[in-house]
Amino acid sequence: MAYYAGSDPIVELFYWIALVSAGVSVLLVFQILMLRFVFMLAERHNRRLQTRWRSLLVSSFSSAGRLSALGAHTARVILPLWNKIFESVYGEREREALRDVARSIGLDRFALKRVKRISIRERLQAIRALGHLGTEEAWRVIDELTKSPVAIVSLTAAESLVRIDSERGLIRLLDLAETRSDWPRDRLAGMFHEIGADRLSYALASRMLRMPEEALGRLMRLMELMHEKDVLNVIRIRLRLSSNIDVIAGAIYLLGRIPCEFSLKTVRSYADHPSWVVRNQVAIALGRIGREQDHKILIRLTRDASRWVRFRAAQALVALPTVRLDELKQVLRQEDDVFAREILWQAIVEKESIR
Amino acid sequence: MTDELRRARLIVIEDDPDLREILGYILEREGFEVEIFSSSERALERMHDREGPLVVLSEVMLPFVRGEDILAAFRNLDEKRIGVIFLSSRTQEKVAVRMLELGADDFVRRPIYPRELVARIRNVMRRMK
Amino acid sequence: MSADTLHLIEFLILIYFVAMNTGYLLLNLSAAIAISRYLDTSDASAIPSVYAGFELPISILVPAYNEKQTIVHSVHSMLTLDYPEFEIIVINDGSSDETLETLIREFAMIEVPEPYWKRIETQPVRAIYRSPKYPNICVVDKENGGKADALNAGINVSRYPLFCTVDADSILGKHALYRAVRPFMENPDVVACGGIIRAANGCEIRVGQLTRVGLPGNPLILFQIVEYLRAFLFGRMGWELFNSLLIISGAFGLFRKEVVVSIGGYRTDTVGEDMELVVRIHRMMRERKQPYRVTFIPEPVCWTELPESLSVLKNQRVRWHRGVSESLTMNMGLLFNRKGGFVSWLTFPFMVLFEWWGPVIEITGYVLMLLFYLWGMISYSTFVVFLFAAIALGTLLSITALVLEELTFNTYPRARHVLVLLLVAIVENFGYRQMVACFRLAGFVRWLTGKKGGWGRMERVATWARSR
Repeated sequence: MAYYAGSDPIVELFYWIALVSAGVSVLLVFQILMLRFVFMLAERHNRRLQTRWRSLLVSSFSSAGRLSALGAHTARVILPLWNKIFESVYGEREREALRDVARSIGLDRFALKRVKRISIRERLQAIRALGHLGTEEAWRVIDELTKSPVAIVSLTAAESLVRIDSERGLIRLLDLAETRSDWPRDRLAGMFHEIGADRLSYALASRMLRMPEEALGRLMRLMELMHEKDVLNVIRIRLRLSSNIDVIAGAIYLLGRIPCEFSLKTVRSYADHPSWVVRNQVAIALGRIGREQDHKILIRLTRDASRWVRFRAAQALVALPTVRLDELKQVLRQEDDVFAREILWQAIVEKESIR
Repeated sequence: MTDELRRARLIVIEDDPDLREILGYILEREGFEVEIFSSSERALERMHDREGPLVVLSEVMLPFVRGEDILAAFRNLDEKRIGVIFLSSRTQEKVAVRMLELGADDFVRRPIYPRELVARIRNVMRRMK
Repeated sequence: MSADTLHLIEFLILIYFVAMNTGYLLLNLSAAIAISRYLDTSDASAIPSVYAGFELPISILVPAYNEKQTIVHSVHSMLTLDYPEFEIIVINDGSSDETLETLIREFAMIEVPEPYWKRIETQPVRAIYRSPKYPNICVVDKENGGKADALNAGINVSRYPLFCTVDADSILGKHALYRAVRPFMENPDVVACGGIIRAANGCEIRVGQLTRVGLPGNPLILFQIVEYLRAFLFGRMGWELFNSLLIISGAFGLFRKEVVVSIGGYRTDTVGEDMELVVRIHRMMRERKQPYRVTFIPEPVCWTELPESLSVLKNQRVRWHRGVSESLTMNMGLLFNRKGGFVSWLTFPFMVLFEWWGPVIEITGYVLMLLFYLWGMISYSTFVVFLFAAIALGTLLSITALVLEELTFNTYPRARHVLVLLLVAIVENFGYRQMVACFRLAGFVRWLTGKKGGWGRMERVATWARSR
């Protein structure tokens, strides 16, 4: 403290704060350098491991060579790689070969240990691997994880259960799908898609017949992945009694993809529903499956109070194969409603010049 | 496989190293003569002095180019003797379908089903004859 | 002045500096927690292994005012984004150059008689163009009304439930939309999501996409890069943990459209429309007692060109600070609001004290100490100790930000980059930060004297566009 001679306590405090911050800063600088050094070493090491194992794993597709069990460190690097390669190939022969390799190098046992990790990232990798490997001993642990409050963990766990035991797993998955409103729908759809309509359709439909409206509304769109017969069945029974907008709008969306008398009749009967969301779906659906007598309904919907309904109705009209553009221009000339006129005009011009 | 088919070369354009390895392995196992590139630019650079029938298997969403541009670039090189097949994930299917509309020969979904992939490539090669 | 008063002033200055820096250090800490939490779960959720057709479609809004040099490249670059369903809406805000003509020519746009639905009041729209070749591009030609007005027009024209604002010269990462949409898919309460903005200067960019991360030679940019880390990443991420993020940069932000429409869209009477919107979202949602979440993904989604000259930097900061001042004063109802929770009782006061009034108090502190010294009221050593403390605290803050960066992202690949950034993090405390504080003070004064500004113009060198 050569130049500092004062005894003012505030100045002294200033001084100490400065000294401590400077000191900590210097320490942190060293920490950064250390971190970077360690990081670079690890990175180089991991890259080498990955390159080597990438070709080892892939070449095991046809000839599973003898490989010995891995150390924990290597296994940690290889597990995500193994998952990725497994998920990139669909062939049963290749997948079986990959499973053999994984067992011979002890990835299954490694994953079983890792499943209880705190790090979600590592846990997810382990859950996925156990699912791909179909490790039955893992069922209990993974089933426990489906209760995780973290949506992605419970979702991945459920997915793996289905892979380990398709029947029991599907039951668990459907239980969870009904209650977990926090699961992102796109991921659930991905899982349903993988399970396939043949296995999914009847099981899901019979649940949908009796699940609460809220859950039904949430899962409605996913019926896209089911067989038409089951979809129609659920809609026939649930729609009549439902006043839930999600259920109704979802049903009409689906009916718009299943051209049949029942679909047409049902869709038409909702054209005057008080909710614009429903009327919007009616316009879209009629644009796909509508017949000549539906032109009237669609023209009426171009005068709707909601802009979205008007827009969809006009787009639906020009998309219908039964509508001729000059006919539509005729309608336009006689139309009094300003909104209907402008939205129709837009659709006609777009159809003529753009599509 | 006839000699004619065997002679058609295969170009793979794939930005992901793991998929590169997988595709290379599967296709070589089937006896194709494969060249693998990590970007369409690299692949196109090597095209100028090439002759003979060729099938291009390319990722539909590569980092720096649109599928349209890849398609156009190879079509401009040789209209009839280059077949173009795109690889797409489920979420990119719309783009892949648009490529079909624009004249791509086929597209293959990821995850790769090796038998399907090989069959589709052979079909395109057969049609090109 | 008595010795007691002198002491009191010294004491206040001390308290302020210590409180401010401790505040920011704590923010860094909470940012570290938020980031590690994010990284932990993002690995699996970043892979688009989902089933197509269930993603929320996105409207990208690109307001453009005299952007003929960059706009075509930007749109081309956005067309290569990997996302299943999005539309690009370019809003030409009455440009005086050929922005509109360039777009029409390049994308074969055709005027369509689309009825303009004025959900939010804007300047008149002259025409709407669409293209047969690119069905997902739309160009809106409107009378000049400023950036906020242009964004509002874009919202009116957009067809999708989410909109994404970008600057005309922003370069989005290939997966930017996928990443930013995740929070919306996973939590229906999310109404807005921001992402990390990084410097495009010094990076290699080809065909409008970033190919290699690098560092530029220009020291002014280097200072800004460290500043972006310190203030715009960890500062923001820290608040995210408590759902009280008040700023989402106009360079990249994803919003739920119906919520924004319901609060009246962007305000056109501020230069900080991006921040004002977010602050207002907090205020309105709290008032309505609706559950909501404003979130931020610590993932570099967008690369933007930072100002390379001092005068442009100065203008930018003056404008930003006016924006901060306006955004806060326009939403004073949020301060110490009974229903406001964390935002009202901690974030908002923090912003007022250290962001809004920060430069005023900081500069006053420096000036007072200098005057005291010149008037002989304090000794040379006291003065030096004060400077030493201010600089050391600042350095500590800059270095902590770098530690966080090293622990989480390792954006800059080479060891040399780390050394450069370390050096810059130290040097920025000897002048750069004080200079920026002066710019911000100027912004504060400009706000006080209250002149309304138009588009914040930035001379675009568009170096990345040339290297196509």
